[in-house]
Amino acid sequence: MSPRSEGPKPARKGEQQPAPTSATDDAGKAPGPFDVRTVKSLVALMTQHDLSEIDLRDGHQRLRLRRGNSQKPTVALAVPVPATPLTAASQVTVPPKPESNALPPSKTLLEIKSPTPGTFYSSAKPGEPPFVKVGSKVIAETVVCLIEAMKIFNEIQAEVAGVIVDVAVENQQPVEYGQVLFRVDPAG
Amino acid sequence: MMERPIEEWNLPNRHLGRRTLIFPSVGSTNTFALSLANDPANHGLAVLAREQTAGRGQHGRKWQAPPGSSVLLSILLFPPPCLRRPSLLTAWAAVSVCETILHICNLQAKIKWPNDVLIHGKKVCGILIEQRPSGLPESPLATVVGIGLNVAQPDQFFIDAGLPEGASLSSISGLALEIEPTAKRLLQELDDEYDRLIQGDAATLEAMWKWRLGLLGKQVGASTAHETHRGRLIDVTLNAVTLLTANGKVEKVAPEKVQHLESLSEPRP
Repeated sequence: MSPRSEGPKPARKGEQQPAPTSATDDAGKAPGPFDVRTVKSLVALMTQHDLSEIDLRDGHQRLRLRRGNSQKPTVALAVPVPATPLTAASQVTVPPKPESNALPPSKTLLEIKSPTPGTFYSSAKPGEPPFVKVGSKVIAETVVCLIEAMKIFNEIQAEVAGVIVDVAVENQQPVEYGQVLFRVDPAG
Repeated sequence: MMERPIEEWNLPNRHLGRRTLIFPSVGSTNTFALSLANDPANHGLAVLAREQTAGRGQHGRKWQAPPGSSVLLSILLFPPPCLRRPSLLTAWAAVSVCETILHICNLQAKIKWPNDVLIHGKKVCGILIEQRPSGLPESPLATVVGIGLNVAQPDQFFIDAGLPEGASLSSISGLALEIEPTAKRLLQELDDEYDRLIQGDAATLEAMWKWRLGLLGKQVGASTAHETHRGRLIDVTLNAVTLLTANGKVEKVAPEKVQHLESLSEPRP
């Protein structure tokens, strides 16, 4: 599960917030009354209005529902999860889809980070195709970009294997030390 | 096709150029040197070519020079962690070129941030430093320092090439200069400075870089990707560019973040 524990917040999309007549409490309190019909109606509303998350609180009771969306993996990745350093790459755990009947195992993505501050170049030279893009398969030795600092050009290798699912920076964008450049699905 | 050297030098240097391969023609000396980065025994190996058929400048720009007109040199290094800082590597290469010019033609060159080498405001040298993981556990980072130093081109070459800001050592000094002695001197300067750095003396390099930048005490603009710091330049080290702003505040900027450092009171060279 996500370690996120911030207070109440509105649903990410739309303004509809059904009354929290029933709730579970995921903050460690004793669970309150649990009404399956209410949850079902909330899930139906989320689907109907394409809501990705509902987070409701009433007193000590809290109900949070999330819908996974395989079409928008970056939405799930926006959750700030502590990463395990793995040299230039590190792991991020994406929460399982809550609406699934049988919860799938957590999906682990790897991050390729900048080893130095500098300027990110997606291709070897202007006008050339990028080294990699979303959907590109990479192995540890695959060159994914260049980072330039003080006219020194560093070839950055993936150091992990998988499929690029997110290019987190724009061509010629300044980057900081440790900034995430790419996210890789090792199971892709 | 694998290029073959026509000659090999074994210079009496301490670290760099003890083995120097000479090619009549090579695609890119940097590319060739990087191709040898799979063997730590190649630390310090130098590649010198009379001609490059696919010479590269920064970020894919072409680097062209008539055969036999320039020092086209690349050195392969596996620098220890203390020598991997971009500011140090870039200063080392640029300062070594300036010292070579001083010995060869008795001219004081200046450095335009971070590593353009200018004489009388004209650019005489291009430096392209590239790094990549070597895959070698004991020498994980391969660094190639590529230097293209214009030696023998006449003035007309730069006019015809549409490079009015370019020049060669001969075109400026009026001396008849040869490539090989210039290349050997450059290797010696690089080696001398590298030896100081390996022994922990970065202060000498820092002082020479600072002096050749020629901006100390002047009103400057130090531009990063996000902003321009303005003020009097009170120090430049391998760790920080330090300015005194108009309101008396001291600002320090990491050199790796400074893209341009230039005088606000003088026109660009």
